[in-house]
Amino acid sequence: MKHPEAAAGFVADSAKSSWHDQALWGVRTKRDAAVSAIPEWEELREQGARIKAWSLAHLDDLLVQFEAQCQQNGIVVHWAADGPEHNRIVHGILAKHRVKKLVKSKSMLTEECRLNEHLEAQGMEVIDTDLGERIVQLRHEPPSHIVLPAIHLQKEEIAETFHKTMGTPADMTDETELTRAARKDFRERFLQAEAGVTGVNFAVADKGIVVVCTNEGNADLGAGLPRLHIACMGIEKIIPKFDHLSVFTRLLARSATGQPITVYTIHFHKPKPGGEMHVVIVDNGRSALLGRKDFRRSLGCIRCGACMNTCPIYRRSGGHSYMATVPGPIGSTLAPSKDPKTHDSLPFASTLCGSCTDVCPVKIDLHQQLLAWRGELVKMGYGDRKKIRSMKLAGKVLSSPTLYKLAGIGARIALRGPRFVLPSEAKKWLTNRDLPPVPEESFRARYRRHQK
Amino acid sequence: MTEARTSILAALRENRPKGEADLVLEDIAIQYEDPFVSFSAMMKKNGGLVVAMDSAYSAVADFANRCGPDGVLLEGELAVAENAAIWIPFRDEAERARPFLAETLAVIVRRADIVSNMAQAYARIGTGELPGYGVFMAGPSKTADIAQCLVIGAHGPIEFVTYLV
Amino acid sequence: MRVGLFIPCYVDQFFPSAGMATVELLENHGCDVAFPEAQTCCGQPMANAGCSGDAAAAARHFVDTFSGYDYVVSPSGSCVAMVKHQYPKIVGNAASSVVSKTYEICEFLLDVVKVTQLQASCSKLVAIQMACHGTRELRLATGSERPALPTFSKPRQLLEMVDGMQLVELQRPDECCGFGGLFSIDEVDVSCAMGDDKLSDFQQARAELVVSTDMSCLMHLGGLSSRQDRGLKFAHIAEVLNGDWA
Repeated sequence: MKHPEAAAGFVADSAKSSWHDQALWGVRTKRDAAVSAIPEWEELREQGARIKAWSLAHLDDLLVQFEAQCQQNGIVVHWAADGPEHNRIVHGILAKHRVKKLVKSKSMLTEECRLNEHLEAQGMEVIDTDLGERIVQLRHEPPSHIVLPAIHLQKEEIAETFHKTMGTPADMTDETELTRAARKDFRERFLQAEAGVTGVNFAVADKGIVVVCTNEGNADLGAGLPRLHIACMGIEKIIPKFDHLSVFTRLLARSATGQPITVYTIHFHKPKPGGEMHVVIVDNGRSALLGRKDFRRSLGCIRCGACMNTCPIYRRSGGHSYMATVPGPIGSTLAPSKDPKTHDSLPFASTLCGSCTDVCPVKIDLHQQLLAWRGELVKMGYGDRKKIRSMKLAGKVLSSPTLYKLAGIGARIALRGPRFVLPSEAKKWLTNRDLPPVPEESFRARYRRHQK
Repeated sequence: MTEARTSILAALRENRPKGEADLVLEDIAIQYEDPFVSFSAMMKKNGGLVVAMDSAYSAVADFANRCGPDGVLLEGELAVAENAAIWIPFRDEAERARPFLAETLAVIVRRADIVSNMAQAYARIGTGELPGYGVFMAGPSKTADIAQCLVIGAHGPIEFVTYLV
Repeated sequence: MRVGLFIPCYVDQFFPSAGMATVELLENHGCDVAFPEAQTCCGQPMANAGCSGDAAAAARHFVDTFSGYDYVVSPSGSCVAMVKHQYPKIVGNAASSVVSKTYEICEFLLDVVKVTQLQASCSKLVAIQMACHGTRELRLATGSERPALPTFSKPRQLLEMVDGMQLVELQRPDECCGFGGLFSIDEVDVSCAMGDDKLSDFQQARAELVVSTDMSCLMHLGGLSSRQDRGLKFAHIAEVLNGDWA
């Protein structure tokens, strides 16, 4: 299935699609309010973009520096070329410590590598501790948003899930009561866990520090309680200097949820006494993306989700319609670099309205990348062949004034005639929309009269 | 040296973008006339409580009255006006998880230690010796993962009290 | 000053009055307007479909047709954005003879002609449909995404010069209408859902007339509105800046 069909399914439930749109527009509105409190916002974005661009140009050196600093602090560093290697490394560390139960806070990287499936297949129990991720885990669904994993669900659906899996009363739909029930359930699991896995928001090269941002306090408990902490990061999470954290902590939460900062911004510098801390650095296609001039800036993404919240298509079609680990505009530019065939409809799931580009805290040229991907995909032979043939014809017609005039006359005549002679595109237009009435004269004809 | 490490670094060198100019950043972050007022307003917005006290001693006394045995009291090294974040370095390493298990978490910060913005905060933290573990905390834990309805008190503390002394 | 007028292909065929209003506006403000008959299309449909090679032929033709004029003006922010932002990528240096002198009609009237008053009146409640490429590529107005910047809007500034103008405020003033060229066909369901929401926003604000810098948005919105008998009227901004709407 491609995006248009999956999106049509979500839009068909217009009440839910509209609720989803309103909920995310609410997040966008909060973001706007937070941004207007910072007069230097546009310069701050520029700084974020510059730090990321500089980091991408020095990734190799920065990673080596980061590794050395970590080792000096007693943190063990691992390198994984791809998802399966990442999963083997994480499993290896856990197996060495005879871990049976672990807690995991939000990490899009482990989603991308499908770590949970891998560990569960080896008999380990993995509990996602971000409330939204836990909800989708209990429902055996992937997250539909990178910051708000369960945003595709309404209260009643979540209440039903909790009723079935945690035994809460069937009619308990109040968000506070549901959250308290989850809190109680989670506490037991945190205390039983033998290891905690977290993602990484920022990895600071000059100090060997790993920064994780949460609102719920789950990463703090997950990394703080068990003896063993494993932090998993993509190579692009690196930033050069400790001071640069100020730029990104100022940008991240305001862009994500409209908060001035996440409730907890944790800095891991050393393992706790008697404990062990590991960092797994993962490539999985990122170094190849670095070599693609038109698309490398997408590696600067700090995973705030602002482009999803603002995207009018995402808001109405839901995250699952993208069928990619990361949905929305950023996902639509990241996914084709890994698997162009599967994801060839994503760069077309956009009106190129440009709102994503303007909210991006690190100024990734998202809509320009989507446009560039369209060209790449057509060159690679993906996309709708029939449409491409008609574009070839259009290219010929539109570079020739004579053919163009004839085509214009043809279109005007065709639209006056019976509908069955119309091409399928026009028929699709006409399912929900009228065409404008065809005027007696074209502009050209009127202009000629005007000149006389 | 693993094989992955060698191959990743080689690929990064190969694909490294060229001609990136030196990174010099200007100081642009917002300054507040009265950081205390801004901090207090922001902490309230974040769902936390601000209590002004004349001394650390009276703060401890208030804490004893206010919180049951589940409460935890910590010392903050500095606070930030733009977002009400308080920097809490953990020098006593064994304590890492304890504050997150508390129902009520209280933090004492000196009024003189409120800076305007995160740039000033990180600059100050970076000059001293970094703790093995340090956290910016900006209020009680929260979530809106259930249908975007805000709930105060997710995994971490449900109540957050700041004593400004 | 010699102004070469570029009329988008669909405006030529379906919305001649938008084109004529542009001509009259420019002439009334002292411009020497010419409509080069050899013009075709800017090539945006092909570029947006990923066929930039096919767009290049149209782009080169545009450059040949218009490079001799002092200015190139068009009643379409989307086509102008194509020329200014995509031509340099598609045809390289050849684009330089048109890129800097191509203007959308509103920015041309304000920034080049420096219009301060208009001979026009309107007694309807008017909503502005801010077209995306006009807002976010040509920066005809401060986008809602950038609230830390000073607020301005060139279309609004011009409309406020119209006698009796009453503009209504929308809940989402610059949300995309869902047209998006081929998107309106490829993703017909999402496209129409976006359009419907836009129409509802106009109606909750009690708008009677919707104006835009781009007829393409209005073709989509007008098509939805007419199918649903919503009773809204649609016009290109040039028609309102140059007419009497009772």
